[in-house]
Formats: sequence, C-alpha cells, structure tokens
Amino acid sequence: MSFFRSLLLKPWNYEGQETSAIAGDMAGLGSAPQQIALVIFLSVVTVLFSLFGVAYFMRMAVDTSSPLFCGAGYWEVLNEPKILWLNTGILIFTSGVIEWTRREAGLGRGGLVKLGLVFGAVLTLAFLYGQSVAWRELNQSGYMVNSNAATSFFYLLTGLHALHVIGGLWVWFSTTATAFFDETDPVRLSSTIKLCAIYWHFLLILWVLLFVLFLNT
Amino acid sequence: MSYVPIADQPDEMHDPQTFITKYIWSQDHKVIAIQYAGTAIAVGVVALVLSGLMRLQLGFPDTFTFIEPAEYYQYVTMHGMIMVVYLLTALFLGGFGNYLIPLQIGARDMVFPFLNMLSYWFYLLSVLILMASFFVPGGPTGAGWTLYPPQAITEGTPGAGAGIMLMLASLAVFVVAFTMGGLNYVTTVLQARTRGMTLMRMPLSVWGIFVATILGLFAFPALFVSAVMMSFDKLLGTSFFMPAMISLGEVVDYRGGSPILFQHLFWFFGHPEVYIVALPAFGLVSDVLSTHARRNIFGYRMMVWAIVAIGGLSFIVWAHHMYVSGMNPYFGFFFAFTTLIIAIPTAIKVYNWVLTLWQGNIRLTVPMLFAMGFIFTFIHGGLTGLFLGNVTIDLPLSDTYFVVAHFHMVMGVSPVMVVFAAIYHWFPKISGKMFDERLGKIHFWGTFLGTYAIYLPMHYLGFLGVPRRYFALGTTDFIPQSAFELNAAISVAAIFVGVLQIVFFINIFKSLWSGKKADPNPWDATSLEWLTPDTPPRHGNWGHELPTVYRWAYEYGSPGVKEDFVPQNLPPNEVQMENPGEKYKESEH
Repeated sequence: MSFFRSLLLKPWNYEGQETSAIAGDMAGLGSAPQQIALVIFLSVVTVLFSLFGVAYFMRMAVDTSSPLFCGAGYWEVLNEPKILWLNTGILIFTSGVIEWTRREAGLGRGGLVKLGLVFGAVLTLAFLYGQSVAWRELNQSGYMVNSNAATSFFYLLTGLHALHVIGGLWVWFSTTATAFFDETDPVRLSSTIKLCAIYWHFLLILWVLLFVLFLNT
Repeated sequence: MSYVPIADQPDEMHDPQTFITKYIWSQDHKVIAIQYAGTAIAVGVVALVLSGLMRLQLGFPDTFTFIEPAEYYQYVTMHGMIMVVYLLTALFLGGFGNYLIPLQIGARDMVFPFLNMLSYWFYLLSVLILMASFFVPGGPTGAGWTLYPPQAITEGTPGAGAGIMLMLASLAVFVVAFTMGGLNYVTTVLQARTRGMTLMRMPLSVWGIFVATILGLFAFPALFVSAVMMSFDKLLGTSFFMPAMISLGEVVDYRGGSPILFQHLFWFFGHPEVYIVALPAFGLVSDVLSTHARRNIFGYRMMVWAIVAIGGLSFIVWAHHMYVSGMNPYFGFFFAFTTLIIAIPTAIKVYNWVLTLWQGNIRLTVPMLFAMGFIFTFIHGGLTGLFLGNVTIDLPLSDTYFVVAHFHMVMGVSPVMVVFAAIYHWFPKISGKMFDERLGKIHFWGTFLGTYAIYLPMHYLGFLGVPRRYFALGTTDFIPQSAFELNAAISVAAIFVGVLQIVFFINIFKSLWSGKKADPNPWDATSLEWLTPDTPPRHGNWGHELPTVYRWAYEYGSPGVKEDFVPQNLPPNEVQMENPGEKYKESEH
C-alpha cells in the first residue's frame, strides 16, 4: 500500500480491514532496512550538496557593483586542471566495475567477486590520487583555498566529495576482507555489495554534477 | 528477510550480562533513551542557570558586578543554543523517540542498534566539545545563538577565537549524531512495525517523532553547511560569508563574502528546527490528553495530516526570520503568506485537542495538568506568532522583548510543558515506580503560573520598544522607570521558576528510591508500551512473541464495553462487555 493511500485509512472504521491490515502491512516497504536507510542517507547527502550548490550560486551572484560589498565579490573564474577529465573517466569505469561485481555476487560467483572487489578498490584509490594531483596542480599555480571564492568552493566541494568516497571505501574494504577471509554468508555479502554499488553510482552522479558546475562557472 | 526487531524469538533471549554492556555501551533503545535524556537534561540545567544569571543582570543592573557585558553575551548565546539544539532536539528525538518508537510500534528495538549506540556517543561528544568552550581562553562564543557573521568570527566579539570554533565543531558532530539516530528512527517506523500496526494505527507520538525526524534529516545539513563554511572562513581565511570591512581600525583580510548567505542557510535549518521540537511535542501531548481525558483523540486523521502539512510547510517559511535584513519586499510578502498558512494546520490541531477534552472524563493527574498547561501556553505563543509573521508588524517589534516573549512561549515553555507531561506520564513505565502526586502538582502550578509571570509582562516591554540583546538599558527617553521595575519583577519570577525545578528532581529521585511500585498500566492506556510483559520492559521488550495489533491506539469509552478502554493488542473476542450476552463490535465514533 502506498504511503499516501494509507494516510486515507480511517483507523476507527473496521469494515473489511481487520484481517487484511493484520496480514498486509508487516512487510513495510518490502526492501531490506539497510537499503531503505541507505536511500534516506543518500537523500540527506543530496540535500547537503544541494545546499552547497545554492550557496555556490548565491556567493557567485554577490553584486560586485553594490556598495555593501565594497565593490567586488572576488570571484575569479577557475581554470580547472585537465586531470579532472581523467578522474571522471576513472570514476565512470569504477562504477562499471562495481556494477559488474554486484551482478557476479548476485550469481554467486565468488572468485570473480573477489577480483571485482580488489579492482574496484584500486580504481577508487586511483580516483582519489587523481583528485589530490588536481589539488597540487592548483596549489602550484598559486590558487590556494583562500585565493578567491571560486577556488574556495572548488577545494571545499571536491574535498567533501572525496571524504564521502573515503567513507565508502571503508565499507568496501571491510566487505573485501569478509569476502576473502570470512566467506560464510554469500547472501549477506551480495546484499552489502549491492548497497556499495548504489552508493558508488550515487557518488559518480554527484561528481558529474559538481564537475559540470565547475566547468560552466 | 527476517531480522530481530520484527521477528518472534522462540529461543531464550540473549540479554547483555555485564554492567558495561547493559548500561554503558548499551545497544538497548531504552537504555540509550535514558542516556540521551539524562545528558540532555543535565546540559539543560546548565542553560537554565545561565538564564538565571542573565535575569540577575537584566533585573538588577549594576548589582552583580561579576557579570561583564562579554559574559552576558556568552550566557545569551550558550543558553539559546543549548536549549534549542542540545536539550529539546536531543530530548524529544533521542530521548522520547528512542524510548517510544520501538515500544509503541511493537518492535524489539531499533533496526540498527549499534548505530543507535553510536548516535548517543557522538551526541555526548558534541556536548563535551560545547562544554569545553567554557574553559578555553576567551570563553565560549558570545555571538548570539544565530552565530551571524561577520561578528561571530571577528576579533572583539566574546569567544571569537577558540569559543566559536568549538561551537561550530560541536554543531557538526551533533549533526552527525542526529543523522545516525534519525536514519534509525525513520527506518524503524517504516520497517519494524508489528503485525496489524498500520501507519494509521500508530499513536500520534510516533507520527510526531517520525515527521520531525524527517525534517531534521533534511534541515540539519543546512546547519552543517554553514558551520563548515564558517570554519573555513575562520581557519583558512576564505571569504564565503566575510565581507571586506574595517574592524577595530584595521582592514581585515576578507573580501566579497555574503553575510546574508549565512542567514539564509542558518534559517533554512533554524525554522524547521522549531517544528523538529514542536511536532514531537504535538504528538506526545495528543497521547497524554487522550489517555487522561478518556476520549479518543478528536480527528485522528486530521491530526496526522496536520503533522505532515506543518512539516512540509516549515521548509518554505525560513526568511520570516530575516524581514529586517533588507530583503526584497516581495520576498517578505511571500514568506509572510506561507508563514500565516501554517496557522491553519496548527489551529486544526489546537481545536482537536480542545475537542478531545470536550465531554471527556478528565482525570486531573499531573501529566494531564502539564498537557493542559501546554494548550494554554501554545495558543498564547502561537497567537503572537501571527503578529510577527506579518512584515509590517514585525519591523517595529523585531529586536524587542516581544520577540523574546513570543518564542519563549511557543518553543520554550510549551515544549517544556510537554516534556514534563511526558516524563510524568511515562515515568511509571520507564522506572517501574510511581512519582509523588503532591510534589508533581506543586511543580506544575509553580511552573505554569511562574512562566506566565515571566513572559506575559515581556510582551508589554516589547510594545514599549525595550530592545532585546542589550546588556543594560541605560537612560533613554522612551523606556519609563516602570519598565525597570517590571524587569526586576520578571527576574524574581524567573529565578523562582528556575529554583522550583528542584522539586521535579527531588520527586524523580525520591520516587526512584522509595516510590510506590507502579502498576504496569497505571493510566488505563491502550497503546502497546503499557502492555509489555514486564515493567520496566526487559531487553527485547516483548518476551517470546511480538504483540498483534487489532485496532488504533484511541479506543476509549466504547459503548457497551465493561472497561472504558480497549488495549490495542486485545483480540476482539476477548473484550469484556457490560452485558455478558452482547458481542463486541468495533464501532464507529
């Protein structure tokens, strides 16, 4: 029963709902609670980054002519390091590998799953390394975090995105350890990998949106 | 997929054995609830003492020389932030949410007990970080609870060094703690309801906590964003919020930032925060009123819809806190409109509470007194909200004591009335002991009349134009001598009410120590938490088999039934009738 339709039920009127209600509602939304929690968590992260996005636009729109701001918003258009294109490619590829791992785990092919787990972790680390190279390039060309508002946002948003990736990697590593040393429950393993896959795809979409934002402003 | 919270457990339950796993690193929602509530109340007492110090200064200026202006601002800031975030939010959601959600929906525990434990320890960490700011050089921040930049992190503001950084760090940790708890509450309500517990059979307490948690999950990120960006401004010298300016005769190293941006972010959190506190209070008070009036709650469905509607609307009214920030008048029109619309679902709730009492068989117990006190204070605070929601009335009243009176009535006194109603109501279940009725009544009348003595005159001070946030009023043309005398009287009342709370603590500890053993269901209530096999409920709550729910939580005074209530888990064929030949039929009210 949909959430909004159930809001129309009259709980004091029992005609015809006594038995159906007892049997029907217990399964909740029909997914594992972990998956529901993950979806809620990802919507929280979406709100978080949307607010940063709103702040980005509002800060960019600070009226340079207004006397309130002493003449300048200090927003210099940022020249994004080229390596970001490579990093984006790596992240897309990672998502693909993790999706493949998820399918193999669903089919119960343990050996390929292990391969996918290791490969996914290596690629994710490569992405993080690439991001740190981008930071260093910017640093070396004199753009520090406090140089102007555009670079501040760049460091802040890429940093936060990287922190989310690191958080995911932590779960990924523990899943990998489970797959190698404690393979007792393949169903559980496969559901954890499924959650990781959702998370990685989400982080990919998030990164693409951030990258588009940086490129177009 | 079956998992512990919704499964019957035919085997022996594995209760935690050692003291540490049972009471310290506990994953039992009831223990975590008490940890949350205990911490929140402890830190709330600190905030209460701070408000007493503020009132000493305001009522008797030049008398208490140990209160310097800087300290006064630190008291204001810490009092506000602690009360709103660390006391009320944590107590309603971490405390009552944790205790009541699993028990009222018939679950064994939260769906992620470990995450739940982690949530509490992060919350405790955030409180400790905040308390640490009292002991750093410069003291805690004195920027006002809204922490507006640029002054919050500019030299010259009290606590602009370590104080503000600890405040921002503490808030960030709090948001993390809340998110962990919130994920748990929402998932538990969606997934772990027992047989027959449909969404529309849930007690309104659960509804209030559920919707407030969703609000919190989506509103707290705004606080997180503003805390992170302000920390960057302070530590790394970015200019997100900091404009170019001259401070103490020197040009500061910032340029182009937008303080208004911070205000938008802050209030995008700040306004839903009001309802994060209010919605659980609405829910809890509905259950207390219905139980002690022996009437089904009037308009259950409307109550649920109103909770959902208020929750949704609360995200599009934030800028009514910013009418005086120089915003575009059309924005002001929009936000005044949405603000006043919220009055409709809120008024529906108030009418429904009053109509629940109508022709009820009211039992004037201590929780009922506090619940009825809430109706008074909430109507009072809500009506002044209608004044302030209008731009033209807000402009002259903003930054006067009228605003202080309004928000203390509506989100200070009212939720606290519900906190006490709820503590007295569920205390027999939580502790297994009855409280002292006489002390409870002294506590109620003193608090209820005392808070009116504090806040009613403040409205008048506001009309006179007495500004808020001032350390001392000095000599002006427009503030008459009587205002000073009124201020002194308010301070006396405030200190009386503050000290009176000792009665509450005496009552709690005395009852824990030597209280009468409580009946498992002392109020003849219908909802599941009163129907546990043990009082207080043991680990796992329900013994081997989960309860089955046959009806909603408000089956009071059904015609023909022997008792005046029918518990949610009583099968229809076991309901005792007045006339033994008659068969029980669930009736339409």
